[in-house]
Amino acid sequence: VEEKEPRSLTGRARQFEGIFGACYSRVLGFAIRRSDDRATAEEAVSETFLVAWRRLDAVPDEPLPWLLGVARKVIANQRRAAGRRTPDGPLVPLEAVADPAPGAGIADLVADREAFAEAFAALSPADREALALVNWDGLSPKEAATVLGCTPATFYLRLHRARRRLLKELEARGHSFGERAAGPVTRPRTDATQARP
Amino acid sequence: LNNGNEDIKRELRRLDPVAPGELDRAAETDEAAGMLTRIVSTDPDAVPAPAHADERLPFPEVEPPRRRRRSLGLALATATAVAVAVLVAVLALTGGGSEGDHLSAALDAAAARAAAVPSGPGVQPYTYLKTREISVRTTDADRRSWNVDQSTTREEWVTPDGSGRLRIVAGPSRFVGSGDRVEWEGAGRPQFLTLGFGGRTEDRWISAGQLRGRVVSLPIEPGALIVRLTEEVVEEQGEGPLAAATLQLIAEDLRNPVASPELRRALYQAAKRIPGIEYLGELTDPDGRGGVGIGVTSSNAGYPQRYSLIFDPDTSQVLATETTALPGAGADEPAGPTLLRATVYEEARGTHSLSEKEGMWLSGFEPSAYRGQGGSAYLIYRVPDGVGTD
Repeated sequence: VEEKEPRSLTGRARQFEGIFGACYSRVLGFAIRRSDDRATAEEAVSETFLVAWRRLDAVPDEPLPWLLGVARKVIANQRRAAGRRTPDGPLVPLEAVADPAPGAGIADLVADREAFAEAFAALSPADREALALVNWDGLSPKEAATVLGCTPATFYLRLHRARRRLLKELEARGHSFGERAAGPVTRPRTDATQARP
Repeated sequence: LNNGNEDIKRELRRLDPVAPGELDRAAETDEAAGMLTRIVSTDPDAVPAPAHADERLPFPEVEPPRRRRRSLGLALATATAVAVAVLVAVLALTGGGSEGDHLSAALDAAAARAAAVPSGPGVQPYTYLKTREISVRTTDADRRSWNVDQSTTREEWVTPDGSGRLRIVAGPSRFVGSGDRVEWEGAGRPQFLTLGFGGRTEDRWISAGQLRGRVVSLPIEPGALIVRLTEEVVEEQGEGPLAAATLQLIAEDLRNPVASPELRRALYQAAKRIPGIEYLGELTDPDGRGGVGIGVTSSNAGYPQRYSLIFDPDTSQVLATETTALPGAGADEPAGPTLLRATVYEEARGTHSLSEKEGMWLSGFEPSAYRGQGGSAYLIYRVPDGVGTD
């Protein structure tokens, strides 16, 4: 049985439901990674989709980067409203560090992972954000640039610098990821240029 | 960990707070369905949304309540209205002298006192901080709105390296006035859009350098300091009026026990340079403590609001910051100012324990927190159930 809806709202609601269904989990994940707790994250998601509902005409055909850009500002609002006593940017849970896979060399593995987590955590919020948008939120550099409100070229530069600084932090902790990692991050190319060993 | 970029990507993904597949079916949950239903039940034209996604959004928390009723104004405006009356009386009694004179005199006196007060927790190894946050929010359901008061108590036990324990006790939310509850019940107790009504308690460990370290690098020359603070506000892409955000930043830094006497003096002097800063006279904070207020008035989405900082002139300690909606031109606007949000700085002292129970040692997570050599910024340790929260 098809539900009766006000005619003026039917099309709008259906369009919104499509966006909501396609993007809800991605927006929720984005918010969880940047919020102090799940309840705050869900509140940010609700605020974000409320903006989309009210600004539906402004939502682009590829809504996810737009939504994440809104979510980012909603979360910034939440932090400021909370007195900005905790820094912004992606969070690193200890559980991710302290749960190594079983097998030989667990002690070393734990130490390595803790060093990595500490190195990541030592980065500036902007550096962590650049790395997280690509590696956690699964965005392309172009999408990530939309979220941050910058050009793709600027984002490539930010990402490159973030990786370099992450490597420096790792080196400061006695870990190295090899020469390839120290090279510049290049834009994806079709000719698959190989980095020198 | 020596295979280059792929290792980096793998390790980064391992740090992801969201486990692989954890949210794959999130859109199919009852929570998601409920959120969707509540959103589409709201009037999309009820509040003007920003013109662009990247446009500054107003504070959700300070959005002036719509459809306010007289009971709300009476319930919320009492303290502020009394304070304003006190201000008027003080100004009337003092007679001469401009607001600028009062502002300079009050801040200069506070700066002088701040310079004479030693910083830090004294002989105790840790600092204990207690803050209460109060917010009045308008929440939506079924295209209607009600005003809800939410109080959150935040406690911090801060170690010398800037790590520490953070405990947050929130809610439960309450209706601002009895009329709000009656009307909500009459509407069939609809579920609200963004707020839960149950309280919650969270307990975490925040690792080195994050709780109190920032002030060490701030300049102590007032001119350079206000430039630096303003730059920080802008760089943060913070929302809301710039002057108000700067004032809030000053309050936070004044409250920081690591702040040196010289910095605290400079912070009070820098406050004089905030554009539009005003002397508000004697004010009472939400805990009933008397102090002196300074503030700025700005417009948030067309609604005039006042952002104020209240400090104790005798000790130079910051007591609270408040956001107050001022009467607007609309016929349905309340007659008096309405407190929308407050951060009340209740306690700051040295302690030898990381628990509210002196001497209790949180062995569940504390040793791990010191394993790193500083620099770890966001390692959050979930406290096992029952530890330190009884």
